Amino acid sequence: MLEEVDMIKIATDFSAYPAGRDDNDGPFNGSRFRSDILVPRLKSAIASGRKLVVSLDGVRSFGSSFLEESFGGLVRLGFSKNELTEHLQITATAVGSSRYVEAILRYIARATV
Amino acid sequence: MSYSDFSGIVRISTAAAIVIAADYDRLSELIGSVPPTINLHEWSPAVFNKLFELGFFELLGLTEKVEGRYHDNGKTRTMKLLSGANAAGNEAAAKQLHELSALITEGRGLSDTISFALNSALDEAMINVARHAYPDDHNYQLRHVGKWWVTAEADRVEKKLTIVIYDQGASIPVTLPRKKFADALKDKVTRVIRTAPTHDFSDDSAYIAAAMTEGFTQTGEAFHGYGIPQMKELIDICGCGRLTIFSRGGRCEYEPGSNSGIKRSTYDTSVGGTLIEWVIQLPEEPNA
Repeated sequence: MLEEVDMIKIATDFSAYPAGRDDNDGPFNGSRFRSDILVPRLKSAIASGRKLVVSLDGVRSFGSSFLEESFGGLVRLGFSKNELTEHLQITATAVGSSRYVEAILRYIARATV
Repeated sequence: MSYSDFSGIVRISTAAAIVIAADYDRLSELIGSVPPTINLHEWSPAVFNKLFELGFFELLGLTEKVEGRYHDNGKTRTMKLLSGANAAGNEAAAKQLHELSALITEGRGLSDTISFALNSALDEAMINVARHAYPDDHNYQLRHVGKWWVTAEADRVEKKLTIVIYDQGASIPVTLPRKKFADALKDKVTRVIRTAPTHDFSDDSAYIAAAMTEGFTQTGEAFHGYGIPQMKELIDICGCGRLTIFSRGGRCEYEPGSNSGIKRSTYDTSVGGTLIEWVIQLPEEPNA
């Protein structure tokens, strides 16, 4: 089991109201989150053999476009599903938020290169 | 210039009010003026209150002149109209909806579960407008301003929240069909069309019903297509309520748990774009 070393809190590191896939959809979109925050931190976690935890706590909106673009987009960028299973963990503690963790895992599983 | 006399209308739904207000906003944005209203003293209080709370008279520049006529009816409250071109306005809409819902939840606002689902559904609707509603190659009957409009109504007696988002775009029946998946869509649509078309919009509800199925989108790309199902999810999470989508001449209605039970109807007149309405009954329990 990998040691946890890094955490991204979407609500505070990016936005509590993220939405959409790209800049056409709005400023806090999935492409921007993925390229500016998620990918650099994930690459660093993989390179150092550690785990990156992404927390959904504090996020107030979980549009499927944002979630799919952010996380399904990792697969389209070339991250393997094994790498993501090993190095990426999604957490959420708020009542009603676990369905969005499951959605992210589903988007990763369904995404193709 | 023409004028608007609403004195013959007894009551107006939130959906009808947003369609009217959106067109006034469109005119205001395009030509800087709107048709005047007349006979305000003869308007029904229900119609006046609805439009006043919506911010309609601000579009007319009349708010100060007419505010003395406004009286809170104690039953319903309508959220001030918001508009935008993409999801950049989602935070403002979410916060206004939370404040509105506090009126029917003894100040608590929406539970996290419902709030997450509502905000997410509304985000997807806003994004659909940004991505699909106003294609450049469509022949619009009226000049558009590329926007969505959102409002909501809280019914303090029935503990019911009605949320409406409207756009004046090309509509789902126009934008949904694309070459990439034309055959699959055609199969799906023809399965539900049983009779010969009776007017230009006869098949419109079949296209809306197809769009409400996960995986069918305007882009035809496999990883898109979750937006409208997420709009249905809000109704499923609430456990009671209704999602209604009007687009051009089609209307589809979805109720909780009715996976294959989308009620369809068509009209020979267009709603002027796409209108999505959620009606949710808020649970009594604070944490539900």
